[in-house]
Amino acid sequence: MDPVFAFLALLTTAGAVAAVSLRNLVHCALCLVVAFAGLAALYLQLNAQFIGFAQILVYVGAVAILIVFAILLTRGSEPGNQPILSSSWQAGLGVAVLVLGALGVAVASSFVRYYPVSPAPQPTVRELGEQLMTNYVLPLEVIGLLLTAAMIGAVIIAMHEKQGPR
Amino acid sequence: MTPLHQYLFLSALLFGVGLAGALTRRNAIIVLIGIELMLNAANLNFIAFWRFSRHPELATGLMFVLFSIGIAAAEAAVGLALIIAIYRHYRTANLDQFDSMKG
Amino acid sequence: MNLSLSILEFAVIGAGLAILLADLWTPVPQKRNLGYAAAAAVGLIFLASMLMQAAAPAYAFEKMYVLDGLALFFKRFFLFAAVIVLVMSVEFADRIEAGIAEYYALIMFALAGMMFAASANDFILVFVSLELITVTFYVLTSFQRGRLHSLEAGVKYLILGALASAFLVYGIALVFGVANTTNFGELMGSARVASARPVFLLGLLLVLVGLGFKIAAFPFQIWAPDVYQGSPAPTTAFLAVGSKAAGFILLLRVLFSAVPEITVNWTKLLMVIAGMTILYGNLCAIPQRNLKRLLGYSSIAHAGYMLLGVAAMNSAGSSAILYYLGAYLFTVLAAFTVICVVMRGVEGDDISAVAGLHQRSPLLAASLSLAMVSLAGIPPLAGFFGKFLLLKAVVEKGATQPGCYWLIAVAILGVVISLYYYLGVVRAIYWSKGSAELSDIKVSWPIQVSLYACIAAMFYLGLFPDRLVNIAMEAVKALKL
Repeated sequence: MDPVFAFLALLTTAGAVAAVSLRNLVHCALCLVVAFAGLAALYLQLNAQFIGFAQILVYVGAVAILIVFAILLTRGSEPGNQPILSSSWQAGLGVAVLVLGALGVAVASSFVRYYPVSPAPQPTVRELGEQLMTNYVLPLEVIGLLLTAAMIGAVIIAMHEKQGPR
Repeated sequence: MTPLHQYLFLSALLFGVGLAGALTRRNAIIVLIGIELMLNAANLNFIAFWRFSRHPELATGLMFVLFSIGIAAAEAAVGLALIIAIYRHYRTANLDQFDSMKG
Repeated sequence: MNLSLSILEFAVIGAGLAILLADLWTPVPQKRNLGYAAAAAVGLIFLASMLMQAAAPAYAFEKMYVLDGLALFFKRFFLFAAVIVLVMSVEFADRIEAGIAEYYALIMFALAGMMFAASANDFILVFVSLELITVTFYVLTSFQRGRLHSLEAGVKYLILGALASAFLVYGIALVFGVANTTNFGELMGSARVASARPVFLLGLLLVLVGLGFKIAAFPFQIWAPDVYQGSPAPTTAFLAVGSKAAGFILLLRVLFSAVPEITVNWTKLLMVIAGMTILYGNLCAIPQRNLKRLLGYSSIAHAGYMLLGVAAMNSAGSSAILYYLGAYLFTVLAAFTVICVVMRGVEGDDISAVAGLHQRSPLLAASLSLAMVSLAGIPPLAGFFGKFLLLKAVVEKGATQPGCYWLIAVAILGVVISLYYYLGVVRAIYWSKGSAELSDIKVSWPIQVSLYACIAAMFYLGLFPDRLVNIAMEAVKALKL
């Protein structure tokens, strides 16, 4: 196994496991940042530079920070001595293990020892931009509409009631 | 160079970890973190498949990941806004305490 | 590239943005009337869609977008549903604290998402349009943010919806990895080769999980009762009609247009899911006292009936789904319009709130009763003929698949169970005593118009089904059946 890959994979997995299992919520969010950064490094390793930087910008820069804000704003929800797992956690864990097993078996029986057949592609930002504005312009516009709707929605939902109708 | 199946195993592992987190934790924010991990696992799949495909000049995989990143951010924004709004009522973010509807 | 194909969607988006802008210059007391403007705009677009023809499938955006008979059928369906839902929202406006114009605009954005979904011929468009619908609905469900039920419905829908999207994306990733394409046309060519890889089948299965969530099929139905109960009534109506139909059009496209060779091996799986969904929805609906929650369970049962048409895997089954959806549209919208008007100031939406409704407003009482009778599938209303067509399609299939007869038995059992709770509502309207409130209910004229339209359509479709059946048969020619 490639040592760089092994290191990044270990880092990402450890970050992910910690992010969903620690008791302290802020620690969870910080471990999530580690997992996101590990994935970004893997994308760079796979020659997808632009996606790697987008991952850092959006996930580490926006999503993780948003999560930290939400944790701080809901500070009273820190578990304290309460259990952190839901009452039906055994069933949930069972489903997760089952799905993981199915995925593992399917991958193992479908893709063993595949190596890249073509030389490493170097898509420039210009090429990606051109593709976005030509072949993929329709999904791009739908995403634009989605972001507008989400922005309006997030403001409306989180707005304080006391402010009354605008 | 790392073979494809190692990336796929890593991605499956991340998906499983995210799913386990989403299904077992009580806190809504951690559940959302788990779901974000699952989406990231799918993105890793797309990038790996794109890199190992016979026609990497077709950027479908990359494009899908770009769209997926955008959508995940929108989902997280709406989700966290909702959690903050409901926290004002319940003073908790634990999912199993949101049980005002029965039947 | 042929932009003119997607003119309807862009018109809807433009109208939605115009409503958002108009909100800035509209004085506060007038804001609710923007809903009538929105309904009029969508109504005009609906009429314009009647002028469009789609004899042969036309493609746009690198074959990502297809306009064929099936897509056009569903676009008209969504547009009509949105008109009634918008009229309903105006009635609901005083129960929303702030941002009513945004409520109208978000309904129109969700509508645009559904119309894109109707034309999706590529997993990328499937994903983004489905997410547009889902994310908009997260907001629409929790729009009454002063009400605990509404917020709770929003959180539940969000958590389970996001989980379902994660499955969908992962499934698409696996399908893409094997077939190296996301386009339905190209997938059809490579499906035979790809089906040798278990990863491909697993990916398709995960995609089905994501779509099963949208239509509330067993075992992904757990969100439906809570969300139906907690959401504002117009949202619930749009969720029951629009979002479910969007799930079905995508299911039909994926199963019968992208991977028809693989789908034929899944008859048994689909049959089991259909049967379980019917039984679950009908059995759980029996003890319900909350009218919206009752309709939530009933919508699960109806998803089960429509899955019968998918499991039949013939064009009779698919066209029966289209007919059934048409009948379901008018029936459910009539029911929710009445709920929206009657449940003003009633906390809990309890069935007792409709007690003695025939003295307060004969029109509302008649609409709700007819809707219940049609949902139960009693002739001569539209719902009966829909169930008849679905069962007929399954009987045709029964020649090759003996298990089908069991499925028919389950479906008929479900119909019998459902008579109990649907007629319970009718009984509450006409024969129950002890209602405290007996004042007349004023029904505004737009609501009257939409109720009369729904009643007329229920009778028309029940008595003269041929026309819609022919349209549905024409539309499903787009599928590879």
